[in-house]
Amino acid sequence: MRYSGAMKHETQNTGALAGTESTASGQAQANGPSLLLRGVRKAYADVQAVDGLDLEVARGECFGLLGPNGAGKTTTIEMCEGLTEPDSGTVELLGLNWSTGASQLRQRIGIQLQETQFPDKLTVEETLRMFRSFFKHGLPVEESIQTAQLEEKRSSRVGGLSGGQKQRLAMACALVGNPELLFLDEPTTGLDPQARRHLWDLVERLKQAGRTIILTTHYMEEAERLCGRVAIMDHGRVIALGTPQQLIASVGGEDIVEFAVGSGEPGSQQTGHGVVDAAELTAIPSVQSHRVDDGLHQLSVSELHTAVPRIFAALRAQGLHLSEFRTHSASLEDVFVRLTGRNLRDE
Amino acid sequence: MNKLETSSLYQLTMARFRLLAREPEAIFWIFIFPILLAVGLGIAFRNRPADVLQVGATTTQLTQALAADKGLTAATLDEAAGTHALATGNILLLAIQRPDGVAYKYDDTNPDARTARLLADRAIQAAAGRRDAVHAENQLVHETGARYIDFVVPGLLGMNLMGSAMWGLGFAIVEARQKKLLKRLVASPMPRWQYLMSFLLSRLAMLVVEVVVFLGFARVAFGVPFRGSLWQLGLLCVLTSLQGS
Repeated sequence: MRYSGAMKHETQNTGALAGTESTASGQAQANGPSLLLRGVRKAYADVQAVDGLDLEVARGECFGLLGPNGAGKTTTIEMCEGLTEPDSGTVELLGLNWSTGASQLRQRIGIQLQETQFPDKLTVEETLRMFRSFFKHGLPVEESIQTAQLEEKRSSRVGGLSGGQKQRLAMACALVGNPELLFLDEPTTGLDPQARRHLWDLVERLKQAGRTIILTTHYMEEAERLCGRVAIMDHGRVIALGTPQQLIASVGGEDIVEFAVGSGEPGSQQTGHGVVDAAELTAIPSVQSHRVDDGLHQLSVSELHTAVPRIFAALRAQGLHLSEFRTHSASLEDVFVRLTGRNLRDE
Repeated sequence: MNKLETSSLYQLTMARFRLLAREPEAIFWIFIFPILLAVGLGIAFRNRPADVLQVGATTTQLTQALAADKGLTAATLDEAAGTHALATGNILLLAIQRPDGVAYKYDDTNPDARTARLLADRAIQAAAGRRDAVHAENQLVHETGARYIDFVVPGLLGMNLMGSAMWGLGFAIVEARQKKLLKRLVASPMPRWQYLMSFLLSRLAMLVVEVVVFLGFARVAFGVPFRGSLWQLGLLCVLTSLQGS
């Protein structure tokens, strides 16, 4: 009884929404960027969290902010969300800024924060109904439950949801206002691989629906899969910006060869590592670069099929025995390693 | 109805009610605990009828004179046994026959012993033939409103209101902050005043229930009387509640 009444009402609401949307898109800002950051800085005590950031995100884009923990991703996204005030620089969303257009912006963006705990004793539907009530226009609660695939959990209390379901609820709360711009702060951190894939599917669907999405992550594969464009951040700065393909191409090779060597004589493995003559390896035409990380040599290689035999030959000539050898296609992870000299997981 | 369902103030306030109703401990502390406390204290400190005081005397003549008073029970003891009974607290006063009259042995720092002294002296003087100069009679009053429970109930009510306001409002906001829910709400277009207002509204509604249930119980179980006007009670309760939060 109660549902049918509420649904009927919300259907009317969507009708009204369709009207407002068509007029809004006819306005001047329609062609401007969804998000514009110019020279944004923010310091906490003696830590420069964000150090001069310029970003521009077009409408309908899925943009990824990537970086290790502490790179300044969350500070950046919270300045975009109007939760943190930048020390200097300008933040513009949908052609508005937080000092004059705050109340309008709040209605038009959707936010999912890192580690929000919704009240355990409210049900999924009650939580969504509450968040829906904050927005003048938005999706019917029913539809946001469906989008987040929480139909079966509709009447379950939040405390009884799994990590992935809680995260999908957070997503549904971000969506319920039918936002033009969606911020997702590390949506899959702490989730198991299956829940992560499930959430990726959800983001894919939102992308296809044409929403602008800005997401932060420290999983490179997530950014590669979801984002049209990514900015890699480190120490509060953008150190690389482009499509995942562009960034991967910038490593110089399409493939990465990793190997470790032992000298062949027992007990002298330690010295075996140092003996590799890197110059001989980089002299191979298709080898673009070489680096060593904890005894593991990494080569970025453009033509795997010709390079591998020559690498084998070069190592044999140096009297070295391979104890490990593998190759993989270059990923954003390799881009990060190349740019910072660190592994993401080192943090 | 639809209009109400989509009002954010209504949704926030309903959320407060739901969270409270789904917290069994909160229900216990707000509604059951003060009643248990009132029952416990009411029984422990209930007014008893005046005790009959134990006294002793060294002669049967004195014992009879003492026993004639309804407020005393008397036993005949020799002086040594009487002194021992005094020391062990079995009697409050020992009347000793002396050649020139009577001596009372008692502890003047004990109020009951002082009462026993007055009663014993009156009984012995009366037995010896003293007559009252003025005729006197007693009219006994057991007024409700001046008992221990009558003072405890308003105190418990105040304590309960302030306590539940503090836990229900102050603590709930601190918790929302810790769980980053407050940040999430601030990031939404929720009007901030409505967040606080939802707490106040749910508090005030709970307040009515709390006050009616508790005072109703005090009235039925202990016959605690109510004097003064209802609006003053209401105002005081609201002020207490606000102050507690």
